[in-house]
Amino acid sequence: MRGLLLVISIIALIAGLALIAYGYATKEIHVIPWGFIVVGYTFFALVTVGSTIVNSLYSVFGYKGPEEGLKRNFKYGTWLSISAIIPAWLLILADLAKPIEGFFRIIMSFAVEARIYWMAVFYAILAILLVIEIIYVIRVGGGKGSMVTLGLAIAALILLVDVLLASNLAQVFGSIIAVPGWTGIHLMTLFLAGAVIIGASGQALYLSIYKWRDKRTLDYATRFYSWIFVLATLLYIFLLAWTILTARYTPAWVSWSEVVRGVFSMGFWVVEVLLGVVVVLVIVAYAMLRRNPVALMLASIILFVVGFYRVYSLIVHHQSIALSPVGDILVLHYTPSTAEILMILGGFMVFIALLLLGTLLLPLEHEEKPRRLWIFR
Amino acid sequence: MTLRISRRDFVKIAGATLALSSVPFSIGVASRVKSHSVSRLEVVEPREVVKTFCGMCGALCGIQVVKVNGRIGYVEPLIEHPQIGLCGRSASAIWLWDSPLRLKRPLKRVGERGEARFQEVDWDIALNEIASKLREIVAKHGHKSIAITHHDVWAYYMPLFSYLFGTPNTISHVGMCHASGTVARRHVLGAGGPPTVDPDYENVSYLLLVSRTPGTASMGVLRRLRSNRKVRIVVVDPRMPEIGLGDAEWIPIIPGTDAAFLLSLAYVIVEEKLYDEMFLKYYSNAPFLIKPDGRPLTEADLVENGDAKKYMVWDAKTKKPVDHKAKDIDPDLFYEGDVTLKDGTVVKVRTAFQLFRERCSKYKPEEASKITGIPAETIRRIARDLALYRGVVDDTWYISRNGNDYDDARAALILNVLLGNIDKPGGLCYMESPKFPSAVTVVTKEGKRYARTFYDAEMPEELFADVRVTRVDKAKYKATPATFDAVLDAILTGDPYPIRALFVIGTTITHRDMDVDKIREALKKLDLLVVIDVLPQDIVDYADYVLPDTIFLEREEFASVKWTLHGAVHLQKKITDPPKGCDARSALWVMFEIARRAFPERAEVLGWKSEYADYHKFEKFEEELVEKLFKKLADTWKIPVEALKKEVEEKGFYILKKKEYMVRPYRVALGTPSGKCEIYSLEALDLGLSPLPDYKPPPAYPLPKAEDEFYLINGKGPLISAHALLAEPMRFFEHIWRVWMNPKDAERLGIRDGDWIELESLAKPGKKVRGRVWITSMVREKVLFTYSFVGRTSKLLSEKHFAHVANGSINIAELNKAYVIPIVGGGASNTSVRVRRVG
Amino acid sequence: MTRLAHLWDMSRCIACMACVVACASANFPEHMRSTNPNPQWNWLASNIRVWWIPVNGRHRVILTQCMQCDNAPCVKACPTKASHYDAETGLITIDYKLCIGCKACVVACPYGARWIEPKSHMPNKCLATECTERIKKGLKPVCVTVCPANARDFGDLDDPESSISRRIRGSTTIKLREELGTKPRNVIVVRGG
Repeated sequence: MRGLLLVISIIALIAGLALIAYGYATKEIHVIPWGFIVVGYTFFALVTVGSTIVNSLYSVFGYKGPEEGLKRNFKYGTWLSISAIIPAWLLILADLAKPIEGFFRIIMSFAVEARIYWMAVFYAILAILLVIEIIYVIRVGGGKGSMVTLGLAIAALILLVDVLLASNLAQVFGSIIAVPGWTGIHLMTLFLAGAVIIGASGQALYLSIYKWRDKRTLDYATRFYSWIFVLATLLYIFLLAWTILTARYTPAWVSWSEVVRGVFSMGFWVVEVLLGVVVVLVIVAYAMLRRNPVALMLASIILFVVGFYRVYSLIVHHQSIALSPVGDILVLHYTPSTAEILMILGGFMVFIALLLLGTLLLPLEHEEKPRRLWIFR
Repeated sequence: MTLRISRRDFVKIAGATLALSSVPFSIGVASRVKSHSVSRLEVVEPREVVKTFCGMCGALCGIQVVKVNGRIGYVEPLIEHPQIGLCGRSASAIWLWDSPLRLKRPLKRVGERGEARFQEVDWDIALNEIASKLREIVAKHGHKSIAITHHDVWAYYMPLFSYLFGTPNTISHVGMCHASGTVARRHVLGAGGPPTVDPDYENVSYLLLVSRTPGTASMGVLRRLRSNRKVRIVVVDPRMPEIGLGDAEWIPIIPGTDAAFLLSLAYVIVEEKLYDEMFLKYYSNAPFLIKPDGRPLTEADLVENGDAKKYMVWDAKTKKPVDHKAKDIDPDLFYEGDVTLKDGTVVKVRTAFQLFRERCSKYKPEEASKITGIPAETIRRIARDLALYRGVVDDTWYISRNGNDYDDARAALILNVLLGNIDKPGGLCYMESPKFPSAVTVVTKEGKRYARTFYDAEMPEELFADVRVTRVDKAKYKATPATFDAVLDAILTGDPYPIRALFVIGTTITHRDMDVDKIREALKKLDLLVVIDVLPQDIVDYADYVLPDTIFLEREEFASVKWTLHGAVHLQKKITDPPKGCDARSALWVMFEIARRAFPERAEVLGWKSEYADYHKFEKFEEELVEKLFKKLADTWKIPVEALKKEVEEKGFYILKKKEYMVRPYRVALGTPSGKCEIYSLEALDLGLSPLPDYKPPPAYPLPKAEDEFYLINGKGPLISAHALLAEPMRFFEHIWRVWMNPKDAERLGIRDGDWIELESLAKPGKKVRGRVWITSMVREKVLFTYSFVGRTSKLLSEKHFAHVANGSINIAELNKAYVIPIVGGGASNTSVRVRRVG
Repeated sequence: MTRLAHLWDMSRCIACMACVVACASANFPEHMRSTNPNPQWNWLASNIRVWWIPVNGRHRVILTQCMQCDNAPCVKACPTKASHYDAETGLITIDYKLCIGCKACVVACPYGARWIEPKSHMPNKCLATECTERIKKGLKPVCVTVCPANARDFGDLDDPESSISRRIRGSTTIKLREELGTKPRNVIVVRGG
């Protein structure tokens, strides 16, 4: 069984990489510059950030979770973060014209006024920190926390870099004056809150599927993630409401009005609000009150998918209806091409493959020690 | 977490970090990026520039072609030229040269006419077969049954082709372009086609454009206008033409009512005494005394053996009728009184001015407002401004629209006469003639008549008897410069005599002429249809033989500059051969070769040697022709031919005579019967036309009434010409491929931008086409606008290169019905339609 | 200092498209036969964009191209410094050896002046190669040279005797989206001059 899963995940990994490569080789130009690929990249980046933020509740703030579940499943969370960051990098590099040189040219440019320069810098730092962390937690294990330890320092650094990275990522868009729907700091707040939602839902899904027979873990997950979902969703919708209300007499209203009552309104109200808030909160309430792990899984799936839609809407819709340089409204019809969809699919395949591989090969269980090749089971 | 990490562990961690972080970059996808375009200038220095003139429409503006790496690169204007380019058409010339649509080899029809099924044949076969068919046709119906139609390309050689084929029927596009205006120019000003009189664009202070749009063709005209900093421009048109995108006042007018508007302006100018009294008295026939029968009073009416060409005016000084040319008289503009004729009868005479004034009084601004849709105050304001600024009403160009256009043009010209702003700086001025040699002139030598070409070949009279037969269009429309519709009638009815063979050279009659169903019917009835062109115009689908012509970049031509007030000539240089695989040959060679094979004696006597069948030898002959033109011109102007050649070679042009103002009608008589500007046209009178302009509603189509009925009008623009539209860049300019509709009409009918509509012709009930709408305030309510020459259907237009063929443009000839102004010969391309939304 | 800029005169332009097509033929001849040379703009391979706008009920046309902003968001957004101010001309220039095709500059430009070239996936904008070489040789960019309506000029705003400066002095001019703080150099003449 384990062998079969190993083979499947390796095949999935290769297939995912191949899809990304294929998509890169056949990608076309669209009417908006940053489309589905950038959405996929951002989504995965936010999964990483969110998962890490949730984990930091323990690693920085010492909160162990119901029945110490957060502490006990800590390494799974870390591995989820890493599994998501890889496809994120692959996708964003594939969006470039020169992927191989891309990263190095940015780092070596010292273009400190460019938000994307800082993306590369933060990613470089985060990459190093995440690797250090996963190796550290595998080798050293989740022991007793002490406020003055290297572990805490690493964790705190990761949280800091994460927040900087996520806010910088948001402001890659938010500093663009050409897209009025982006300009401002609302994306930063929405990205951080949204990251928590999708990071948490990723973790919840991962754990509830992998440990579907472990009642203790399921119980923990149901209790813990339900609260995260409720709080993060309410926070998200709070921030979004204020964003929309504030946009009323700004150029941003050109696109926000389409979201709220125009061409994108169906998606907004049905997916983001009805499904992503109302339905989810009802399901989560049920999960909490009845301690129902299936309900939790359902809520997680919904939030994960809605999360993707939210990122898509924030990035694509506001480019689609923007202001032309002469002040009139510019309507651009964008639909993701087959190449782009395949690339995102490839990204998900890589993500799941890595999750599977890590789960199979790495000692992610609490107190589990590495036995082979320094960090493997 | 407790810190328990050894140095060894740390090194391992760092190493692992590096290893892991190289994962994304080890993906072996070769970069698809080839190095971004290397500057071609690193390879070539300097850029070679060849001076020439453009052939992408009929205007022929001065340009220079920049060659890059030995190939044609891009087009620049020729800045010193008297008519400087350029426009989007000219810039697209590069695309035309090796267009995948370019006709490459002679084609012979294998299907039915209209099916566009052809086989490629070689030149000899095509030419021999054409020649053989021509001989058959001529044997049965005579030389005059051959007709040739054309546009501006090869126009100079048409008289030569007439003599070559022995037919008078070389008939151009003019009937569907400026014929009505040209006849008006002749009748009012003794001038000819549109450039023979033109506003002095650089200096005009107020320019009133009524259905005239500079910046349509002749960018040289636009350049001159735009160099004028003080001009106020007012454009009156049912749609806002491109000039209205800049600083110009656009006044929407109901189609077909220009005459009412212009006569209303005249009314204000006359009643408020804003006219130039001196000019009217001495340089126009306004003071001519007109008898009750409408004819002018002449000396022949008053005395025995009097001169019927001495027109009488009433001298206020001596209180007698006198010859208008007499010295020291004061013609009374307003005289009405009795005059005793030589036979003793007493007749009441009135001046032409009084009659004109009476005519104008039908169009007081309030009345004109009801007809034209223009507010009365606006009419008054424009009339006053026009007079105050001593402006110019443009003399019109493309005017074959509504069937009442001849009077529109006359009214426009007469306004200029009223203001006396003729041939003055800033006025409506006569072009200096460069005295370019005619292609053929008939001379008498030793009592015999010969048709002598500009290169001194002579055809004796016995060979050109047929050429002197009345042309089919002139038989029907006496005054016309050219009316091709008459050829269609001759094909269909045999009246006045049958036309059985047609050459269509560089023009597409399916769009140019009226009623495409009539055109198709006529084309199918011909015994022979030969199309000479560079691209698959729709006419090509009907041809028996399609012969690929050279484009302007591939041949040398020496010609007069059209759109300048100076008398100038310019040289078009051969810049390149046709692209590889394209066996295009000059239409001059083609026509001569056909004639040589069909009527060898005619070709020989006109100087064509059989060795010219070899195209290279022909090119030498072409060079000789240009030499001859240089020589003739040098002789005419008494300048050394070497000096002329040198300057033309270096600069691309030569100004033979700079515009001299105050010549006509001041020092030189006009080509009118009176020699003066005629507000009361004597020639029109002789032709049986009304001597004064009047307004009548458009006779060419039923007027739209119901809520869903519209005028459908067409017009030109700086991107429009039959072949330029088939250059790839044109497909991105959506506004030229749509039917324009006013937002209020669209809202009323529930039509949104981009919707498909069905237009049903009111002139041809049941005839429908579909088009896509562009909602714009650039067109008046109750009016739909389409550009000319769009709406292509040739089956030879391949999807890939002409993907926009099914994009919703319409050919107005599908919907209009043929109407030609009697006697004048001007056609009418507008029509009226019923509209409904279909998707 | 040299601050080169374009002038476009809306009181004179008649949308004859000579400039649009000339730019395409001079700067992007490799796209002559492309069926989709500029998919981002659904346009020719040309650096000039044409906007049809119904303004106060009367349809108008405005032509735009790279505004050569003194405070260019594209230069700031470029993570590899590929988009930079050229030392010689002061024009915003793309160093294609540094460019990685991230499209940040395309997104950042509030004038929509950049487009992604469909073969290389790299950004293009005014001035392109041919025109850059032309101005170095004392010629004007092709769009200025071809315009038949006297609606264009190009030159140094900091030279008071340049044709563009003299024309600006004699006209009423505006710049686009100045409130954004981009400090666009390009000038639109509204009236006169």
